[in-house]
Amino acid sequence: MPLEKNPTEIEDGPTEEKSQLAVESPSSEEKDQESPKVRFDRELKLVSHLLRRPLSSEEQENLKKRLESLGGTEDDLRKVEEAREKLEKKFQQQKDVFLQEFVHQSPDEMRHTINEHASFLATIPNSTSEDLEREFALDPETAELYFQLAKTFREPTEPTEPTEPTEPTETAKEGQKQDEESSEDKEVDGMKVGSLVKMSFWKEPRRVVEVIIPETPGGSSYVVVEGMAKPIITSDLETVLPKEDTENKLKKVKEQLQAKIDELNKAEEAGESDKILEAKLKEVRELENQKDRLENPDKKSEPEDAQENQDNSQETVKVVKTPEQILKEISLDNRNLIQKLPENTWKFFRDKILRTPAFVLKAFARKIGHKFLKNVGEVHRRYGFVGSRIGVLYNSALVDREKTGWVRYGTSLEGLQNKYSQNEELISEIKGSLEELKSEEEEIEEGALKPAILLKIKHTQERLNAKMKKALDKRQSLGNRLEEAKARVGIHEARRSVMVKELLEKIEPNIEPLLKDIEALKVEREKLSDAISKYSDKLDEEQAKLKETLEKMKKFPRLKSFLKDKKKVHESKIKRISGLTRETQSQATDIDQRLSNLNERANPWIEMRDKFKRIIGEGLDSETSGEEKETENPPAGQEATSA
Amino acid sequence: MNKDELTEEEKALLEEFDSLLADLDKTANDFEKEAGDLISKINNSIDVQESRLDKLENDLISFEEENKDKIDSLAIKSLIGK
Repeated sequence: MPLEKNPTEIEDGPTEEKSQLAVESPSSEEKDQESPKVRFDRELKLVSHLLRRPLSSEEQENLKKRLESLGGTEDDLRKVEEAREKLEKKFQQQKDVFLQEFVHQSPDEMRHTINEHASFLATIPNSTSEDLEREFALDPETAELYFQLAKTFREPTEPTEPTEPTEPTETAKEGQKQDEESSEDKEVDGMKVGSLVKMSFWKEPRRVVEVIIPETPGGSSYVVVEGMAKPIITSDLETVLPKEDTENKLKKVKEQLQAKIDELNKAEEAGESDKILEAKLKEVRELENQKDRLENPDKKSEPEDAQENQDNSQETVKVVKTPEQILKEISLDNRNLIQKLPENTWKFFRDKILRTPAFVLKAFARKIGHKFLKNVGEVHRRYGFVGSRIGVLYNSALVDREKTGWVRYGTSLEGLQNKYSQNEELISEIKGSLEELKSEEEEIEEGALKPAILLKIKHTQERLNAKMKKALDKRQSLGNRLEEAKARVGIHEARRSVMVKELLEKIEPNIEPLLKDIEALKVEREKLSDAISKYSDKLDEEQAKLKETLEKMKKFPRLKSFLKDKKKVHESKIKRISGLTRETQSQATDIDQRLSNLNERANPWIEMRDKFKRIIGEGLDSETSGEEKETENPPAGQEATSA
Repeated sequence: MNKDELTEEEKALLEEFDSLLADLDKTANDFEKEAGDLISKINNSIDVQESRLDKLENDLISFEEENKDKIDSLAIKSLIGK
């Protein structure tokens, strides 16, 4: 493979590079043992090294000077230049081959990144590595590396080993040709170069121009289609049969069908057995189905799928796909729709729906997918999203904005007010200065300097007057804005208050009695705990007494015959009591669970009521009243389990 | 052996045992009744609270649906002037 040996083969290459590469290249045994990750890292390092410019202009100048100082002639210099150019050319060719090979063999993730960069570069004429640097926020060195790699992307060629410096172009061409041929032979999911493919939202199918098969097993396959720079993953595409092919096939099927119908008629006339007739009828039906499918390609799946569903249902245990795999099978539109859902809804889909067998999901997606997804409101209602919309009325971000009175000018009510008062301060300051100047003017004593001082005062007054005019204009505009902003916030608050009052009218009548009843329930639950502990103590005591009496009875041999019966009765009583205690405990635990669920369900509404009350400024002075209520209703579960 | 042949002490022991058993039975019955009453009372009350919450949620869902646009506009649009 040229990756390892190319750089070291450059006999005339820069000595620094040669030595570094010689040091970094491991022995063949080591290469066999090293992990792909280590190898990849080493090769990446090598690429960054190779991408360095072989000779800068400064280096060329130095070289010339050095040659001159050594007493070389101009002819010698020309020879050196030629040799250098030859070397650089060879170096460049080998670098290209190496890069292509590198991209070709790099892991999928890396290739996808390079692909992304290449697609971006394709959109920019005369692109440079700086474009990548800006777009993907890369450092210059990495951007340069990706730029070089992106240039070679989608041109995988067989590595060539140039023996003569003049030949590499031919061998490279051969390599490319071979690759093109092999690319034409490639076929993925029925897609090959020249076949027509379609994505769900394309109006017309497009022709495949290249097939990219993953290097590593399990990797994704891509195809490049006409008019699109970026390769597309094959799972997003469907193969479309060319119209001519379909027509030819349909014609053939029709002919076959006619022939079979004739055969069937003849067999019927000849009085063949039922078995033969049935077989022939089956063939005719199959051909009819084929014909229907070709004539109506959109309708084709129904009977087939029904069959498929039946087949699948028989082996549901075997077909267990991951949600991600199943998601891949859903059409792109539906997939996008699903992925845009809120996180909780998506979680619900993933856990409750995507875990179902594939055939159920397929049928679901086909029949009710869109309807169901559109009715997200229903999902919200069922799975605890109630109130998500009205929740925005006390959304914390919004409340923060309200506090500062966010208005359309991109500033806040507070900000506007500050600006206005600052402007007012400026106006009074200017007024003061003007008055001072006026008194100064009056106090000037007669003398030679008087005209000069008067002139100075006049200039200052003019400047201050201009400033004042500006400040007054600003006062006018700020005043208007402030007024509008206040009105806007006022209207908003009034509208919201109306809405919140309406909501409170709905919440209050339910929440108030609920809170009272929850308190009463807590008392009842405590009573139950008390009863459980009281009776279990009493029962323990009585059982101990019984045991004691039994022990006493054992001391009397004449009571032996009675003892057996008494013991039996005693055991049955113990059994009943332990069953009773266990059952009561379990019922108490159920109650705790129900109470805890009830609290969990009620708390958001209590919180909402408190926040709404704060919005309209009714009662509930403290910020924490909602939280207090929450803590007032702790899940009762913990209390009872101790009983 | 016949009960009549027992001594007074033995008879007393047997009687004590029987009376203790009767006490135990009574206590168990009392417990069953008291706990059962409390449990059913609590469960009934929880049912009532749940239906109350159902009503509240349904009321709010219909309110949300009826006033969808109003609520949305109140959320932000009226403040930023859109």
